[in-house]
Amino acid sequence: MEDASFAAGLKIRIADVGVALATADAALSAALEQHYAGFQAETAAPELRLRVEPAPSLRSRAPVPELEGQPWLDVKENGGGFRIRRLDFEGDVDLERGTGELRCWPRALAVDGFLRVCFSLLIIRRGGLLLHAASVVSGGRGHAFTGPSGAGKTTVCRLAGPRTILTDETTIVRPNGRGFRVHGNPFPGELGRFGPNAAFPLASVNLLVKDTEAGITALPPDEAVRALLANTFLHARGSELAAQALDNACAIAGAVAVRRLRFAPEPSFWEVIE
Amino acid sequence: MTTERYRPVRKVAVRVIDGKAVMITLSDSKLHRLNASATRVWEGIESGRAVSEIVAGLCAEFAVSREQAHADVTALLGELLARGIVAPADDEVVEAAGR
Repeated sequence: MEDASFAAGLKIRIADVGVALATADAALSAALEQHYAGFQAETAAPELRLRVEPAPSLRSRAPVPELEGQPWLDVKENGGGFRIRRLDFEGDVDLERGTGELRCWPRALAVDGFLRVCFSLLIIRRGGLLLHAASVVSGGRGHAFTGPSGAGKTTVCRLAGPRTILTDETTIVRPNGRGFRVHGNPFPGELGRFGPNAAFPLASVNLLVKDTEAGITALPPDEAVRALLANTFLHARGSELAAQALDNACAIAGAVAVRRLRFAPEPSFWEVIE
Repeated sequence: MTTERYRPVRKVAVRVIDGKAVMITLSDSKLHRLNASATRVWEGIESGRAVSEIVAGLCAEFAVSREQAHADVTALLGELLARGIVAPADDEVVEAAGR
């Protein structure tokens, strides 16, 4: 039977995954509606029902001593699901049943942080990966740009010109039967700007290397798989999902051009991409 | 050490792509990439071959001297032992190997 709080709550759709959010906190509910404005969509059977309980005290929780100075995010397999904790939230998600319970500092960013981790796990189960990558659409096809922080993901977006920026930080890649598609999502990085809620065929994944001039080198398959996994949000430590992520990376590397992109921060680098 | 055998002791997922293995240790999601000869050594370990058999296989496939093959196998085993990925086969079983 449909829970009335979910029927009345916020429904969003990210990368073809329906999510229903329910909270009794009116201010948080309004903040979430605003945060996910471009991703709201009615969905008859959401794949994840997330109940959110405000817990204002979590904001001031003391950091874990051994992780002091590092962004604290703890993800552990817990029975059939995962327990996910950060300074500003703690929650459980059962991907099999499609249910989640979250206690958080009552801000949209806390819910967003939890959802990002849920998606990193969900997308692996659906044959894809959540990459630490920017994505830009050119000629109707998506190009992902990946690398560690500072590699140039935000720079690539700033040099996108008239092209559509899907994301500057978090690229969702999913199979669609004929290949892989890259999906816009509400998980931005430094730019703080959402792309459209749309999907495009994924044409290439580019490992960014700053250089004085632009050039592309195709990666051999094993290096391509390693590059994909090294830049995946792989929160599923200690879980069989890591093995599935490896399979998914092999499938993506087999279907999509994965290459090393040397680029100088000038718009002309698009010539070697296009 | 030539008659010794080793076995995987941590759950690992391994896929061989173009003759080279990419491996994830499931407990910490750490990535490991093996070159072609190291991949053969890993396959030998997984199938329970003795070190001497693995060395002989490398000599035949990669046309290297027995000394060189032995040194390569020893170096890789040392690394896998240090990372806790394999253990001598006669040690007590710690954790079942994954697929």
